[in-house]
Amino acid sequence: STRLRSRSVCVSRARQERQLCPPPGSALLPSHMGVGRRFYKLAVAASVLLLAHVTVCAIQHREYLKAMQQPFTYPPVEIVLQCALVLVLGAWGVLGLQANFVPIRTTTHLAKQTVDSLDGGPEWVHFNTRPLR
Amino acid sequence: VFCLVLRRRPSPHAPAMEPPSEAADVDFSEVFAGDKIAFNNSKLNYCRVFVAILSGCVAGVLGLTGLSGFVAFFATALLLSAGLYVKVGCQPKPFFKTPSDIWFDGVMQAMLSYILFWTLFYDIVHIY
Repeated sequence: STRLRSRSVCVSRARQERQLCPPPGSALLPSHMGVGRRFYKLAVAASVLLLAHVTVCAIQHREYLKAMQQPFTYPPVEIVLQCALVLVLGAWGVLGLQANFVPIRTTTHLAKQTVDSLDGGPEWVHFNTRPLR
Repeated sequence: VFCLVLRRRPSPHAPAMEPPSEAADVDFSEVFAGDKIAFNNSKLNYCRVFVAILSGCVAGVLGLTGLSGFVAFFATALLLSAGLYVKVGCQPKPFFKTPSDIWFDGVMQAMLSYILFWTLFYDIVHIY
């Protein structure tokens, strides 16, 4: 019957989905979710600490320029490099931690539904095991 | 939200995510789930504001003033958008209403945070 055929089709589709396949968006780090999050958090923490460090460096550089009575034109190369590293690490870390989007169209998760879920589930199964009195 | 799924006749070539081409059939590919849109927008906003804060601090430390500061903000916003584009696997269509949403959504809200931290760090480093 068609009902049995659709159930077998849905079972095979569910079996296919049970195989592990990484989502397309995990391209930033090759490993899977649990191990990779630590690196993103480390990157964000490192970028914040490096930002504090480069602030102190820039303040000291400004004080040096005031002491030598030289005008401030461009920051030195190491400060520029540290700032670039802050941006790259921070952006990479926050993208890995927070940019986990979910598909918004209902056809995506409705397509994964099988006809078994539309049945109503085992709550609606009636057992007629008691003998009639 | 329970939507009635219209099961069409199974065709071997059409995957489930393609919109039907007939005009009489309802185009279910554009039925959005509101909570998932809100979730995606909050994640996108978080990323944008975080990177705007970082780039504001960097602009203040580097001593950028005036127009160059705003140019730096838009450059970092563009870089973040490129990073987001790579993160979704160069296919923003399943996650956003229009594909250009990933490039322009939330940029103006992040600009206010950028200006705040830009002025703050400029004052810290170059004035005080």
